[in-house]
Order: sequence, then structure tokens, then C-alpha cells
Amino acid sequence: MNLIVDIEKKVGSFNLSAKFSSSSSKIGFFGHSGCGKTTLSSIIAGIIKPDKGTISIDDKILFSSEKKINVPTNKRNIAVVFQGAHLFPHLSVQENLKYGLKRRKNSKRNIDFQRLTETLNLSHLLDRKIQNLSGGEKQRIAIGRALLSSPDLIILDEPLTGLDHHLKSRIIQYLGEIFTTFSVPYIYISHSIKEMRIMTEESITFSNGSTTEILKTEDMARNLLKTAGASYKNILELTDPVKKGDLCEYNWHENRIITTEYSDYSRTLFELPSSGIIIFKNKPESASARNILEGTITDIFDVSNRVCLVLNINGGELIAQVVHSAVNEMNLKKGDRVSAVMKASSFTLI
Amino acid sequence: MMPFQEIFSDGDISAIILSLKVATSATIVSIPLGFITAYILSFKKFPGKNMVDGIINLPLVLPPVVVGYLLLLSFSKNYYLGKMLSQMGINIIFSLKGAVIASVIMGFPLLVRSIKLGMDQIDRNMIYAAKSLGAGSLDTVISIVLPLTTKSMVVGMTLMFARSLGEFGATSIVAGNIPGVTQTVPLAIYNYTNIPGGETKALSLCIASIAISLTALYINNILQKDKEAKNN
Repeated sequence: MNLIVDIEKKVGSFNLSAKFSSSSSKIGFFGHSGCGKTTLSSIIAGIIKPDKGTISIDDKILFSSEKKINVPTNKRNIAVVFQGAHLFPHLSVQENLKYGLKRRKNSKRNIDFQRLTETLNLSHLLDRKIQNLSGGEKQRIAIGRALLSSPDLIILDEPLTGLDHHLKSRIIQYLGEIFTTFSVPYIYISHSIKEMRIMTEESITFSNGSTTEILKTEDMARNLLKTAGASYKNILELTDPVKKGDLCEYNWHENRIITTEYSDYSRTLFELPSSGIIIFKNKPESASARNILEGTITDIFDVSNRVCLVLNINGGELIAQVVHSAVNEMNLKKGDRVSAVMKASSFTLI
Repeated sequence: MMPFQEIFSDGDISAIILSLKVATSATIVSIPLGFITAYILSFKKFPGKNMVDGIINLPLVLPPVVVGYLLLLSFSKNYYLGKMLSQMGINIIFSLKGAVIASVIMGFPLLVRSIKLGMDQIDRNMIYAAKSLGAGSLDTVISIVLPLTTKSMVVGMTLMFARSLGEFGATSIVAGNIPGVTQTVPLAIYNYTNIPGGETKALSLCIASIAISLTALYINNILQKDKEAKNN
């Protein structure tokens, strides 16, 4: 998918101007509330009409003030999942799921109902009324409903806001995978940098209602770290858990990682704070920490009174945070081979 | 116990039947236009919207006699509308049609307000979600707005029906007070209060009114509960 946006819109005293293009299938809109990210997504979906500009997906022009084109929302093939699901209260789960499907021509339907309901674990709920469902179930139905309309693009507007922490982490573990499985591109809107990093490849940030820059999400997270000095957490996707006594061993880029937390899933997201990594120049002989991994320093940058080291460990990338005096004393520089030592308990489930 | 015929004269019974006819037809006739008006007021933005809202609600605050007099003028043969209708062979003044029209005008704001209240409560994002799933405007109205406003429509219909049963001021001017033709229950009661010894008859009609109104409220409650049961 190739999305091109170049629009301007005045809403009251707020001026939104957005200009970017992206061919990523996982785009993020990042920013605090009121920055214009929801307005921009509504403009792309056709809910709000921009004052001028163009919007197109691949060869299809959705809006052009010059050519006087403004494709209505229902003809854009862009499904929106709002914060808080917004299921239709007078319809059953099944009827909700099939709402968009029924309005799509047979030849254009490319998502199988049964496969989707099984993937989203909704099969047992089909005949239920939506009133008695949990927040997580409702949100899964909203996502399923959007997918079943076989859209060219899905807009997910803060889909996890309002869900409790436990539920959020359960859903986000497989949310990205679902869209990849059914190969539907999406725009993910959030104010959470963590969700951005898990869900998106490229991100658009907003400042004072204008946006022109599109960055790799990981670069954006690091920029944020440089400017705001925010504490950075590494996000690792660990696979194939094996129980080892009361600990658990996972695979991560040809490395073995031992954690204190066991997960039932074959792939699990873990967080590791950058300050939780200790750097040794030589491999320590023995340590209480369960993980000692060797890697190369690929980049060094300052964050206020700390220094961040970007490490490449057998293809996996980690950021470790140390203090200036440590860098000077150890004479750390780009290209150095070092050992990164991490406690098993430093890894926490997302 | 007195037999039915002794409590209600033939005139009383025809007044009750006329009242039911007027209230029922006024309510049924108003539903489509009431729904459309409420939809436009709730969902659309256009210049002069407050003005339109004001005009629709005007009969709620105006003395009914004023509304009746204005209707009498519009439908009289001296004015354009009345002349046009009379050429088509339609006579509104002093007919049952006149009574229905008076009730429609007086009860319409109650119907529209109720439906609009229900529509205002529909989250707009739900409508946008439906559109983004491929539903066009009319499709959205039929598949989302209509089913979600049936409850408020029932409330509006009950209010309008009850208002039409009690309509006196406008009806008496437009339709007159002709026994067997336009004399509804309130007009018949008014007549009885002007006749010596008519108190008992007036009271019987009052009880009949109470019975009809209670029945309407009862049906309203049943429909509401039914709707709630369906939703849960």
C-alpha cells in the first residue's frame, strides 16, 4: 500500500497541516491528545473534509480539492476501529461481525469468516448479545468486524485505551500478528510510545498540528530518548520458551535468554530497561546474573548525564544506558566488543 | 349496575370513537415526517437550524386557540391554501380532517422532541463506524438509526396520542363542535358542563378519558419492556 497525504484543515483556531507518504503497511500516528492525530485519521477515513489538498491510496484518489474529488466514507474501503469498540447494540455478535462483510461484493471478500473468528477466539460468542461482553471481547469483535469488511486500510484509533493493563498486554501480543496474517495494512493511533514500537514500523509525529516527517518508529523512540531523556526500554520478542527449573529459557536472535517469567505463548514480548544492562569489557568469569551476552557497540550517544550504547548481539539490537564516567574509565567506543550482563528478573512481560 | 347505554348516550359513544380516530390518525400520519424532521435536527447542520427548531416547537408554547385561529385563516376559502384545496374539492374547516390537522400541529413537537432525544444519544462514532464498513447514508439510517430510536419513537407516539386526545383549543376553532362529526371527548365534556344536569354525563366521559389514557400508557410500558428485553 502506498499512502500519500498532503492536506490542510482549519478546525476553529486549530490548524492542521499534514504532508507525508508511506508505503509501510504498519503506520503509526504518535502524539499527545489534541495534537491532531485523530483529526487526520478522520480526514483520511472521509469523516472530516479537509479544506484543501490530496489523499490517495495506491492509484486511487480519495480526495483532491483541485480535481474536486471527495470519495464518501462508505466508498473509501477504510475501516475505522474507534476507542471503545462502538459495536451496534441492537445486533448480535455475529451480526456485528458480518455488518461490513454483507456490504462488500462477493468477489471482493477476501477474509474467511470462520478462520477469522477462530483466530480472534470469538467462535463461542457468535450468538451472544453484545451487552454482556467484556471490554476485551468487544474490542476483538470491533477489530474482527473491521477486518471482515476486507478493507484496503484499517485505522485503529487508540484501540487499547480503556482496557485494563493485563488485557492490553494480552491483546497487543497478537494484534500485530493478526493484521499480518490477513495482510491488511493499518494506521495505528496512540499516545503510548510502547504501543507504537510494538505495532508500527513507521511513525508520524505531530507538533502544533503540523506534520511532515515520517520516521522509522524505532528511530523516533530514540530521538525521543535524546530530546526528552525519557528512560528507554528495550522491547524483545522472545520465542520458544523452555522451562529450566524455576526459570525459563527463550530464543532471541540466535541467543539464549533466561528470564524469571514463563509464558504459554510461542512468542512473547518482554521489556528490558536500558539501565538494567551492565557492561563488561571482558567476559566475567562468573556472575549472579543469568544472562551474559557478547556483542559489538554500533553507536554511542549522550542523553543528558547518561550515555546510551547501541549493542549488536548476534543480530539482535539492545540499548544499554551507562554514565559518562564509566565510558571514560572503560574507554568505550564504537566497534568495541563488550559483554552485556542482564539479570533474569530484569526482563518483564509486557 | 347501570347498563352501558344509560351511562353513555349515542352522542357520547360517537365522541369517544371520534377522539380515538383523531388521535390515532394524527399519530400515525405524523410518524414518517416526525422521524425525518428529528433526523435532520439531530444529524444535519444547516443555516437557520435554530429557527426551524423554534417553529416546530412553537405550538408547545403558543395558546392552542392562536394555533387554531391561524389554521382557520389558512384553510378558509379567502386564502391561497384554502382556495386551492377547495378547488380540489377538499374542505378542511369544520370537518374531521380539520380536527386531525389541529392535533398533528399541536402534538408534532412532542413527537419530534422524543425521537430527537433518542437520536442525540446515538454515539456519532457508531455512525462513522457503520459508514466506514461500507454503509451509505440511507443504509445507516435503516440499519442503525431506526432500530436504535424505536424506544424513543414509542414514547413520542404515546405523548402525541395523549396530547391529541386532550386537544381542545385548536380543534374547537378549526373543526368546531359538531356532534357526531367533529365533537371529540373534551368538546363533549365542555358541552355537558354548559347544560343544567350534565354533571354526571361529563363525569362519565372524564372516566372514559382516564381509561383510554391509562390504556395508552400501559401499552407504552409493555412496548418499552419488550424492547429492553430484546436488547438484553
